[in-house]
Amino acid sequence: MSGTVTIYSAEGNPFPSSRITLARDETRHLDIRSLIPSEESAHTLGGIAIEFTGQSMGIAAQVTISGFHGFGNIDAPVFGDMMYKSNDADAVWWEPKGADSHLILGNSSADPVHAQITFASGEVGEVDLAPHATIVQYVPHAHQADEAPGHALNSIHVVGTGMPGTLRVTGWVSSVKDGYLDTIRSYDPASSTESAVYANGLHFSDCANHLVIKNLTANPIIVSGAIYPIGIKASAKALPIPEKSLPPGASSELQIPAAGDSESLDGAAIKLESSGSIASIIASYSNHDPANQITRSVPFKDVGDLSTLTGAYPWRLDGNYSSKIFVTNVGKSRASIGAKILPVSGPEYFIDTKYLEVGETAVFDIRKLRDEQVPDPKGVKLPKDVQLGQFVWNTIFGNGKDKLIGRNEVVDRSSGISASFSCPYCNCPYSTSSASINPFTPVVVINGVASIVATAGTSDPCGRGSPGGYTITPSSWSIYTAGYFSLSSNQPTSTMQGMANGNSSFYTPFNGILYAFDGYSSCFVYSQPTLNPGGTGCSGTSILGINPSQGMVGQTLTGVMISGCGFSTTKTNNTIQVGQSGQGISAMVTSVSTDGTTLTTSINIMPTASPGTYPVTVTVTKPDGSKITSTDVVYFNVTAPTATVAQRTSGQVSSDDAALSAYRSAEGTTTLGAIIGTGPVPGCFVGNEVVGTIAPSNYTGTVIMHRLITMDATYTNYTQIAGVTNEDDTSAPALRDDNPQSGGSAGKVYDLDAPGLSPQQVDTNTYRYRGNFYGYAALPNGTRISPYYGYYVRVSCRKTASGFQFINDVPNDNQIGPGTTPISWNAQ
Amino acid sequence: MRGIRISALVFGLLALCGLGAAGQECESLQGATSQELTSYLNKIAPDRNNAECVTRAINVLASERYEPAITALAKLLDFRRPPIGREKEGLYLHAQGLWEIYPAVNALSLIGEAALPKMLDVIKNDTRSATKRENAVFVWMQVHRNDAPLGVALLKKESDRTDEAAVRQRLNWAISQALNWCNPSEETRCRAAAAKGPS
Repeated sequence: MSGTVTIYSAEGNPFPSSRITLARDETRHLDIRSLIPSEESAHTLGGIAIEFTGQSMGIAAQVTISGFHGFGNIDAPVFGDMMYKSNDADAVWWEPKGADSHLILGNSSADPVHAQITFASGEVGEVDLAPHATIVQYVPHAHQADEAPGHALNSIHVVGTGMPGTLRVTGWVSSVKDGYLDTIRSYDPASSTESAVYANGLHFSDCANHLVIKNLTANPIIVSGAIYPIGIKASAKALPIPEKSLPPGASSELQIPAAGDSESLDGAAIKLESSGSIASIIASYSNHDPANQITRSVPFKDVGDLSTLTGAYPWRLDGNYSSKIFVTNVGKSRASIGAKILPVSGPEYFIDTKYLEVGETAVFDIRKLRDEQVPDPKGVKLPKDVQLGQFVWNTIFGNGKDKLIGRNEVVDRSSGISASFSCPYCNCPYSTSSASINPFTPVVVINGVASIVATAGTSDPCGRGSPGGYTITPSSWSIYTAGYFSLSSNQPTSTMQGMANGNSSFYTPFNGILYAFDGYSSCFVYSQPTLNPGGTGCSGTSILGINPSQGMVGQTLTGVMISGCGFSTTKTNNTIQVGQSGQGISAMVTSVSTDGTTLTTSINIMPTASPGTYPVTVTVTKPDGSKITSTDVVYFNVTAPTATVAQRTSGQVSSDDAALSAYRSAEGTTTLGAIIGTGPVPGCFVGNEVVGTIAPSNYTGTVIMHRLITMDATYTNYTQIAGVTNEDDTSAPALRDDNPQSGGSAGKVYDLDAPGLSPQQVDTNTYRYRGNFYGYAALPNGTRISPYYGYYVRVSCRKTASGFQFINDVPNDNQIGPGTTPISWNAQ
Repeated sequence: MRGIRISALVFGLLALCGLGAAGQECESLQGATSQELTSYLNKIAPDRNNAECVTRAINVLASERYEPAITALAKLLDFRRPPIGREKEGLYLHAQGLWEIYPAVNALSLIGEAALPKMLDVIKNDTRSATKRENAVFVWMQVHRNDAPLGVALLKKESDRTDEAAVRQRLNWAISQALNWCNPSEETRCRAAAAKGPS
């Protein structure tokens, strides 16, 4: 992704822009001074803007001004205007005696902005900001001192004109004498979504700590809270913060509860709740280490927005820097997170599921992971020399109600730099969109055990890559058919123990969650699909399935896979039975997998087998000669091919009809239709070829074309001599071609016929035949596989001294065609 | 017109006489086993009176594909069945090939490969009936219907290895007959097989 970085002077004049291109997930440190021409370096710098085309928060940045006053640094995030809901800002901070505070007000827009600043001293300042201009404003000391003697609080309330987000407010409080420098962090009250604020990664040891709050409302409020030490496993262990009443608009310092050894609180998280409404409080926590002149300030967050369920932080390990990421569950129920570390060089480092109890904080010390070469679950280690990268964390498996806060603390003890990075990454957490278990088909011997791990797959609503395979700790397992095996729960790895021969499906209740980005600044939960990862456990000797599970009559299937467990690895010790003996289906094992879970077989379905379902069993002969036969309900389906029927009544017999020569010998011709046959029995005949087209066309089994006389009649002149109804008239094999592949037929079978008359003597009689037939295709066992094809035949013949003659004294006589004919002498 | 009617009546009476005798004989074969039917055919000398009965016995053995009857059926390869049913009125619902006219031909064709040695024996050694030999060739080629050139080639092979001139002559005649049972699509290969034998 590419972007344009523009630095503005304090007056709002842009310096020439710089183009930067960042690889996917790349983190880069830019020296702001290097972005402006050397001849312009005398200017006082003001703001910075990054323009890019792409997804919201596709590029995020943070500015750190280090070496401020020679010992400290201040930091400010670079957000888009859309991250703000208003142009107002509030801030409260600890202001040590002798310290001075300054606000930095910036205009991010191309229009003038006016800001009205209400100071804690009661004074009101009016500031006009030219487009893109930046102004530093001294903050007068507050009149009302805090209860703590010798120290003070300060605060501001700023109201700006212009579009939301165009007025940026930050600042610093410093005391050169004490080596104190802290960032003044302002908050947009309109962005608040709840009456509580949170922070984590707090430091307590060897320092002076101050937790200050301000009531933003016109009503008195009571503020309470708790501190959650790192590693806390139950909310009961949280340290309560004594309640404090605050008059309208007042600021105050809160008493931090004693915890014995203050080091035990290092890295702790904090939650402050107001009795007032949403956006009723803001807070600030500062921690000053005078020996090292380090002031650690921690941003407080409102976690009502789902964007707080994810974070992406740049980290650095160059020099003496360290980077620690703190993620705290500040919600009311257990939560879980997953993460990845993206070093600038080297593969992605995967951090598997970390469950966090209420109040629990997970700490990820990047330097420690690197220096101690701690491998991730996939064996990946951070490169020993890596110095820069990103840390990305996400809530996973949540329900949209989780509350988490994360922060990356970058510290350089030698230079006294402490900065806090808490940029939202895109602003939607990963969706949990799939879940599965590994192995999908765990196998155990009876009384044996196997391990199962359930994992979830994620997808990123913001369109970036998301790691998959987060381990799920199942709360319980549901086994469809009990008695074959048991499963343990509440551990990342579950244990399956075999109890009896058989198999069953199983799953653990588990819901996914799908987030969507609103395309502007928020994300929302739009679905919580039931994922229930599970599989099928196989215990002892058992059949799980057969694939393919069906074949056609007359087919021989090779490579049929029978999956299951407990098969003998000696091929000949496995016997497969499909149906019962004599039903025309035989199976032979051709190979077996080395783990005894798959039999490769050949199944022969005789042409005489009937379509239907047949049970499949495997009998395993054990080394001691004993046998065990599977009892699972697994079926093999025998199907019949299908056929369509057509009739040819003109032209020549099909060249791929194997009965052609027989027809030729019988009729002395291969012509179809009304013919004078000259074979062994000459006469007037109507040759026809009924064609059965088989699907699938590569079917190799036998298909027989059958024929039935539904009704017919023979006449001498006008007198009926005989007639039959519903009489089978199937041709002899010589006139049929029952092989769908003979002669390259590609799925065609044939039946040749030539009904007709052969008057035995020369006379003047007209001998007539009227018949209705239907033909159909059937398997050798009689199973019909085609629709009926109905047709009629009409013939009138006379034997004369010169031979046989068709007589056409009746219209449309001596014809064959689809449908039926009246069987009266005149076909009327 | 009248004369013709009388003639037909006389023929009908004669037929009824024959049926009477055949009917009695056939009744005795009702429910007979294939073995008994085979035994019957072995002993019978077909004539006008027993023709229908012989036909029925052959057809039963055909439907059973009863291989032990091969010799008996081979003996009857030239037995021509009488008209049945409406054939007597000149109605033929099926094309009348050898398999229709000679019931043993149909039976041996249905029995299939097991009948081949006997058919070869007839082809080579039957000197009394050309019809038998012709029908044996048909059975031979019917069994090889899905690979007619092979049927021809095997006859050629048999011819080539026969020292006896008369037998070879009959085999060569059989080969020429067999070519008639090759479909047009196979004719070239059949002729090649007739010239060269099996490839």
